[in-house]
This record gives sequence, structure tokens and C-alpha cells, in this order.
Amino acid sequence: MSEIDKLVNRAFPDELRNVEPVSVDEDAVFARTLEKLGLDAPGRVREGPTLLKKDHGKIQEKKWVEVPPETVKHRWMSWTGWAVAACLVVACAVSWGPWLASNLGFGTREPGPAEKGLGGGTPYSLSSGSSETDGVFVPAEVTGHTPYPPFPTPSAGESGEISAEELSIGDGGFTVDLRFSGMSVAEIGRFEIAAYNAESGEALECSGRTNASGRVEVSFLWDQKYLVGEARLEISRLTGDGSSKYDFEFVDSFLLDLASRKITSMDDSE
Amino acid sequence: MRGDYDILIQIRRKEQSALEIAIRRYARYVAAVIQKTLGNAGTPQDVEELSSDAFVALWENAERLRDDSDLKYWLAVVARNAALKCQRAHQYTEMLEENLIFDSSSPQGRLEKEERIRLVRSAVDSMESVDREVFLRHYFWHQPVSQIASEMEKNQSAIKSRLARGREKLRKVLMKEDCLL
Repeated sequence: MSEIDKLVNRAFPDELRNVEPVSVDEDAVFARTLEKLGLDAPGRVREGPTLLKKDHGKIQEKKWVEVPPETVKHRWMSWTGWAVAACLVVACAVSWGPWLASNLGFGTREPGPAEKGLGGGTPYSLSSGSSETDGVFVPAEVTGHTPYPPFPTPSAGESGEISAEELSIGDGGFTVDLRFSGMSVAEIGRFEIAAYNAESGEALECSGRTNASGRVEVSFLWDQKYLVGEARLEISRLTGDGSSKYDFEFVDSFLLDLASRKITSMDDSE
Repeated sequence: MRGDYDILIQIRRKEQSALEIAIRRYARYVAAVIQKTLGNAGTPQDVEELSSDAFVALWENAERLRDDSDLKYWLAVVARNAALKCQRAHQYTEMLEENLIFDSSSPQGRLEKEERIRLVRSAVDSMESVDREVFLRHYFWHQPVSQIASEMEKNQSAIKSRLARGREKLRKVLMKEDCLL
């Protein structure tokens, strides 16, 4: 290959990555591969010539015995039960942990607005002018319902900024695209995202998906009786050594206007 | 689902099940690369044969691969090289001018090579989209002029003109860089 060919090959690695798969006889490829490597197909019994063995002058024919195929027990199968149990434990801890901790007096998280009491100046206060309403705001951690499960414990150090870049609305709900600039997937995992009805302060259920390009898609469903008008997205970051899952610091919040699809970054100082 | 790392580790241990998983996962993609390289010259049997060669190479070279290797990309490179070898004897390719000589072994030479790669990419990306496609089909995928003309529904002389234009552009960019160095 000439030097120029090599330059062209190295300049365009995406040409190889972006090829669309085509149909091929995978069984034939597998069989041919095994044949070239001199391997037997799984489960096949090797047939060989009969061996002749002399024994006291007599020729005895050695018989080949068929060996039943060996079942390969994959290592992961023995772990399945433990994995399911671990998932259940984690799910229970996520659902009930905050409630248990706050009721038993564990954890160092700042009391939520419901515990502080409603009033002006808190980001979750109800419509201005009212001191008591029928809809009492109860933050997610008090009800025991975390709208978005916390990510794993992060590594120290991060940089970059967070922006809400797109609000798309569909038949099933709406999705906001958050961009965590300059952060790796591991760093993004340090953040917790919670959403509330901006008017009533009630927590909204949402789900998120992170991709490798530093974006998190946060999706909300329409069939939530408390979702009207505007939604508030609150982003917190896990701090400390992770020994308490309530070591969060508020980072940023966004107001999502579902009518105009406008996204506004809220100043933390309000 | 097993990741590339798990598959690689198990292939190093000569576990056939991992090889089968690699084939089930990547055979269609490897076949696509081979088919694109061979073009009309390749039959389905050729594609299967060369695909199996790529997986044989994986089995035999697993120890040499890095733990974080992208198996899909590695298989694609191997498959493409195998297809090119198969095709080279039967095909006429207009070679780019090779009058640019530089030492790529010294640190200075390596830097120059990286710069040339960047220049090549920049020059090709700045071509008209049709010229770019023709250029890459011929000089990356090594598709013959006849195949390119047939698939792009153009006549062969038009394809050759575009290739000549692309070569001239690349030559000017690289020669200019040589003059500055």
C-alpha cells in the first residue's frame, strides 16, 4: 500500500465505522471459521478410526463410546439469583431509604421546604401572596419517592457547565435535553435531577438516559394529573465522600414552559 | 450482554462460545465491509470466506489486541485488508502520485505525517459531495471505476474526471505543505 493510500486510510476511520450491516449466513461463517481453526462444532462427537489392540494374541477391536454433550453452565447463571436480590435491595433502599433516614434521624441532607415551612424566598413556595394553600408541597425525599434514582458515587473533580438545550413535546409526554459540557459520563453520574410542577411544587416522575456525548435526555409522561403549565427542573450534585447519600449541593435549575417550549435558567440566588 | 472486553478475554482462553458470539454479533458488519470493498467482483461465497478469515485472525491474534480494543473496528480493518488483497490482482486502480517522499520514522517525520493526515482529510472534506464520495469509493474502498459509475449512475469518463480533480487537489495541498516545511 502506498504512503498516500495509508494517509487516506488513516484520515477516514469513520468510513469503516459507518458501514450498514448486510445479511450473511452466520452459521456458514461460523462453520468455516471452525474448520479453518481445526475446531469441532459444539456438541459434535469426534469420530475416529477403530483402534486395533493385541491382547494375548487376539486382536480386540476397541470400541468408541459416545460421550454425551457437556452442558456449559455459564458463570453468570449462578449469579442471577444474587443479582436479582441485589437489585431488589437497591430498589428498596432507594424507595424507602430517605424516609427511613429522615425518620430515624440519619443523613445530613438539609431539610426540604416542607420541613422548613412554606414561605417567600424558598424556591418551592406556592403562588405569591398565599401563605397556606390546599396543595402542600412535599418534596420527593420526604414522601420516600425519588423521581430520579441517584447515580453511582463519583470521582472527585469536575468542570464544565450544564445547559438545557431542547424541549420536545410528543404524544406521550415531553423531553428536555440537558447537556453537561466538558464532563465525562462518570462525572455526569454525580448529578441528581429532580422535577417539580412549578406552580404547585409537586414532584414529577421522570426518567433519564445518558449518552456518551455528555447529554442526558430527561423524559416526562403526560398522564400525571399534576403536570400543568410549567415544570421546574432542579439539578444537584453529590458532594463529600459519598458516605451519606444526602450530601447534595444545588447546582442549577431550569424552568420549562410547556406552552411556549421555552427553557429559562433560574438564578440560584432567588 | 457481553462487551468486547469479555469476548476478547474469553477468546484468549480459547472459549469457542465467545468466538461464536463475536461472529453472531459482527458477521453482518464484517460482510458489509467486504462486500463494499469487493463490489461486483465478490460472490456471496467470497464474502463468507473472507468473513471467516477475519474471525480466524481474531482467534489467532487475541493475545496481541489491547484490552480496550474496539473489536468491530478491528474486524473491519482486517476484513477490508483481506478483501483488498483478494481484489488487487484483478483490478486496475489509478494510483495517486507518489512523488511526495518524507521520513515517517523520526519524531519530526511522525509529526509531519499527522499533519498530512489532517491535510488529506481537510482537502477531501472540502470537495464537492459527489467528488468526495467518488474519491473515497476509489481510494478508501478501492472500488473500480466501473463499479462506482454503475452504482452512482454516472458514466465512467465522468468518474475518472472527478478522480483526476480530487488527485490534483490533494497533490496541490500536499505539495504546498512540502514547500513550507
